[in-house]
Amino acid sequence: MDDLREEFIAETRETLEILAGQLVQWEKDPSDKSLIDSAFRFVHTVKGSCGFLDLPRLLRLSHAAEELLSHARDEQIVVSSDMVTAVLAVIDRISELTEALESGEPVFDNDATLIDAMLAFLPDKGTPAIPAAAIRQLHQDEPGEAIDEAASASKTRTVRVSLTLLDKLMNGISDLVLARNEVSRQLRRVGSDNEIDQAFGRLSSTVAEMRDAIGMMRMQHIDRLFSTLPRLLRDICIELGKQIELTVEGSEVEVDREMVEALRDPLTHILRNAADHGIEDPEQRRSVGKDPVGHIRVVARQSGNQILIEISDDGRGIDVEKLGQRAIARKLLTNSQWQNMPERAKLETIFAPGLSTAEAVTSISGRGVGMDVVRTNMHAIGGSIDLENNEGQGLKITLRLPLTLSIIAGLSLRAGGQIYGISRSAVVEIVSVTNRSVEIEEIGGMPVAKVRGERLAYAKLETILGVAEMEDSQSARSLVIIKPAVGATFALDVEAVVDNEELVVKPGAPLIMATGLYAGTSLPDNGKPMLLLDASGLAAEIGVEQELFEMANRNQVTDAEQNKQDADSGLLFQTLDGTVQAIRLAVVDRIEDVDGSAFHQVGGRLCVSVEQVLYDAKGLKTLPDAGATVKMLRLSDGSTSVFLAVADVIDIFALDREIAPSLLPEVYEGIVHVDGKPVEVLNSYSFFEALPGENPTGISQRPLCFVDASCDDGWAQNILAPLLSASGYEVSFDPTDQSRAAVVLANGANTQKTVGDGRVVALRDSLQVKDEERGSIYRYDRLGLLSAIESKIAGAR
Amino acid sequence: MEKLFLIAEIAATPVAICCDHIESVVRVNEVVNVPRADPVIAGLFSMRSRVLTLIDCQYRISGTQKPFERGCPAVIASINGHSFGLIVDRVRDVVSVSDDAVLAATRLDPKWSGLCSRLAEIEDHLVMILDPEKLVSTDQRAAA
Repeated sequence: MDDLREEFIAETRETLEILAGQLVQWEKDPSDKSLIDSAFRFVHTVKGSCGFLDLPRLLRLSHAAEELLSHARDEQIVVSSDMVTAVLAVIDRISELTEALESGEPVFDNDATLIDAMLAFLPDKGTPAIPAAAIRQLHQDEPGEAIDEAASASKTRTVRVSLTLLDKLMNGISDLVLARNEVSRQLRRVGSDNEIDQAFGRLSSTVAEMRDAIGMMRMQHIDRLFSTLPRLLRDICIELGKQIELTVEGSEVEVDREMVEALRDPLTHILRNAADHGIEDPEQRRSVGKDPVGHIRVVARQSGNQILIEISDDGRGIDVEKLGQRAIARKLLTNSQWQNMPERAKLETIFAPGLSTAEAVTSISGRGVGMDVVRTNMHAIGGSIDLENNEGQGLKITLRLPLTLSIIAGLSLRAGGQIYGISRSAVVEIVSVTNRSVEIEEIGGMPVAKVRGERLAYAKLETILGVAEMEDSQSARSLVIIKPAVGATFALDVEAVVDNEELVVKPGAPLIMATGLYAGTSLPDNGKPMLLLDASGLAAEIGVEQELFEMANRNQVTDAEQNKQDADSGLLFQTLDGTVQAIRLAVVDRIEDVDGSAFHQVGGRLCVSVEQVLYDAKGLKTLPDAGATVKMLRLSDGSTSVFLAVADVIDIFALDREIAPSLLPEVYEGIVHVDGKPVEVLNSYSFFEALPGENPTGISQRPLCFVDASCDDGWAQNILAPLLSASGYEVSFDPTDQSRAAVVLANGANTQKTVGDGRVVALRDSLQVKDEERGSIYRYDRLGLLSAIESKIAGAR
Repeated sequence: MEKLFLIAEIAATPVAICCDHIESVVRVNEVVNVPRADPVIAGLFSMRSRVLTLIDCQYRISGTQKPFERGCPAVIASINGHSFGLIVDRVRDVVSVSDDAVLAATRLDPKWSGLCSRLAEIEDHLVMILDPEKLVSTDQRAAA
C-alpha cells in the first residue's frame, strides 16, 4: 500500500509540473479543447487513484473539478478566466495535499469553499456536496479507458531509479576509469604488442562513453524548472493588473538535477522583480510609446562548460540615480562614495541587502530582499550574475552556472607535503611569492599581503591546518588569491600549486565537516583521496577583523561599518618637503591626481578648481607648473572639502596605539609611532576651522535682511549687500519686504522710525558713538555686524 | 531471531559489532591526513573509488592517538550514509547471537559506556556490543 501511495505522489507531482504551463495557455485560449482535456485527464487520474487509496479529501476535490471540466469539454459552459482561476485553486489544493501526504503536515481544510466557488460555474448552480456513496459509485462507473490511452500516448517511456543506485553507478564507472588507468600504466611498463593496444583502445573509448552516459543520467531538462514559470507569472499579473507575455526558450537544455533545485528560488525572485517593478503599468507603457503588453524572455543555453540563463524584460530598467538615493538614504553609502563609483558598481548596489527601487512594498516584491538573496544563492552553487541595464528600455540579467554541482573545476594545492583541492571558481589569481609586486608585511602583529598595492589578509595554509611546513619549500611558494562567497578576499600562501583538474566532489563525514575548513573530499585519478578546502571556511578561520585592510583600499564598500573602522585608521603620507606625516583616514575622501593648471592664487590663498568648484589647496607653498600633476588628498568633513597636496601616499595603519601630545596642538593632533618611527598626525580640525561653511548658494531657506536703503544707496548696495549675501542672507531693498524680513538694517536718522522693532540692527557711520546712537554698530565692524544679525535671528525663533 | 556479530578487538578488549553495519574487513595501506579534525579520525583512504574515513577506535578508549600502521585491519561500516573504516587490533570471528542473549549493559567502565549500551552473551562470556554510530557522532567529541 505504501508503495502505491508513493507511486501516486510521484506521478501526481510529475503531471502537475507539466500541467502548470498548459493551464495558463488554456486561460489565454479557453476554446482550446486539447488543453481542457489535459486538465480533465489530470483530475480524472487523481480521482481514480485516490478513490483506490482511500484519500477522501482529494477525492472530493478532484471529483468536483472533473465535474466542471467535463461540462466545459462538452461545451455546456463557456470557459472564462474566472473559472480557470477557480479550477487552478482546486488544482493547487490537490498539489498541496499531495505534498502533505509525503511530509505528513496538515493542510487547512476549506475545501468546501473552493469546491463551491468552482461549482458556481455549473449551469445548475450550487450543486450540493456530493454524498460519499455517490462519489464511490461515480468513480467506479466512469469510463476511463479512452482517456488513459490518450494520456499515455504522449509520454516518453521512463523508469524511476533511486538516487542511490545512480550514485552507485557513478562510483562504479569511476572505479572502471581508475582500473583502466592502472592497466594502461602496466601495459606501458611491460611493453605491449599491437593487438593488445587495439583492444585496450576499444576498452578505453567504451569506458569514456559510459562515463559520459552515466553523467547524463543525473541531468534533467531545465524545462522542469521553466514549466512552472508561466503559472507564476500569470498569478503575479492578475494581482498587479498588468499584462505580460512570457517567452521561454531553451527548455531542452540539460542541467544537473541538484542545480534545478538550487535555481528555483533565484529564478522566481528575478521574475517577480521583473514583473513587479520592471514592467510598467499598461497606461504608463502606452504613454512612453511601448506595447501595453510587457514582455519577459527567459532563455537558457549551454556555452562550453557553463549554462547561461538570460532573463530580459522590456520594462523601465533600473533607475540608477534613484538606486543611489535609496542607498544613501539607507546609509549604505555616503554621497561622495556614490559619486565616485564606476557605473557598473553603481548598478551592482542593487545586490546590497535591504535595497529596492520599488516605490511601495507589494506582496510580490519591493521589500528589498531578493537580489541579495539571488546573488548569495548563485555564489553558493558556484555561479555568477551579470546585469545589463538599459534605463527606460529594460533589464537583462544573465545567470552563469557550472554544468554540474558534483564535478567542479578544481585547483590542487600542496601544503605540508599533502595535496588539497579547492574550487577554481573561488580563486581570483595565483602569484608567486617572489614576484616583485608581492610584499608580505606585518601590521599590528597581523600578516598582510600587498599585491600590486592592494592589501589582503594573509595566511599560510600550513598555519591554518596546523601542519608542519616542508623545510625545502621556502623558495618557490605561491600565493593563491581567494574570493570566497562569504567573507573578504584573502591571500593563501601554499607550498605549491600542483594542477588544474576536474574533481568529483564527495561529501565528507560529519566529523570532518565539523572542522568548518573542508567542503568535502575527492578522489583524483591517482587514486589518493584529497580533501577539498572550503574557501568561506578558510576566510572565517583567518578572521574577519582583517577585512579592514581590504575595506580601506576600496572606496565602494557599502558597509556602514567602514566609517567605524576608518575612524581608527590613519593614512601615512609624505609631504612635498619630504617629511612623513599621518592623517586620520576618516577625513580622507579620496586621492586625486590634479593637473597643475587647475591651481590658482585666489584671495591670497592657493586654491584648486575641481569640477568647477574652487577648493582650498593646502600643503603647497607655490603654484605648481601647469604641466605637472600633483597628488592631492581630498579631505572632507561631510559638507566642506579641502585638498591637501602630498608627494606620495605610503600606507594605512591602525590608529589603535597611544597618541603622544604634540607641541603644536593647533597643527598636529599628536605623535604616534609607526614602524618604530615617530610620525606627526595632522589635526584634521584645523583644515576646516578657517573655512567658510557650505557654499551659501546651497541653502534653500535663507533669512531675509531688509536694508532700509534710503540712507546711503552706494554703500548699502555695493558694500553691505555683498557681505550679507556672502554670509548667507537674502538681501532686499524693497520696502514691501520689510514686514516679512527677519532682520532690518537701518542707519542714522532711519533708526528713529523703527524704535521698538526687535528686528532692527542700527548702524552708524563713525567709529565714535554719539548719544542717540547707543546700541548701534559701526558699519565697518564686520564681525560685530554679523553677530548682531545672527543674534537677532536667533532671538526671533 | 538470530543476528550475526563480528567479534573484534579494540584496545585489547573484545567487542561485538552487528554485521548489519558491516560491509567487509580490509587492510589499509595508505592514509591521507585530515588536519584539524577530531583526533579520532586517523585519516582518509580510498577503496574502489570511494573515499572512506578511517577511525582510530582505540582513541575513544585510551585518549591517545596511535600512529598509523601500514596494513592495519579495518572494519568497513556504513554509518548514517557515510562509509568508515574502523581500525581494530584484530578480527577474531563472526558469531550468531540470538536476541535472548543480548542484555542491557549496566555498570560499564565510563570509557566504554559512551560507546556501548548492550552486552551479548557469547559462549558463557559477556562481550560489549559496539554502537558504531556513537563512535563517529559529532557529539562524542564534546563528551570525550
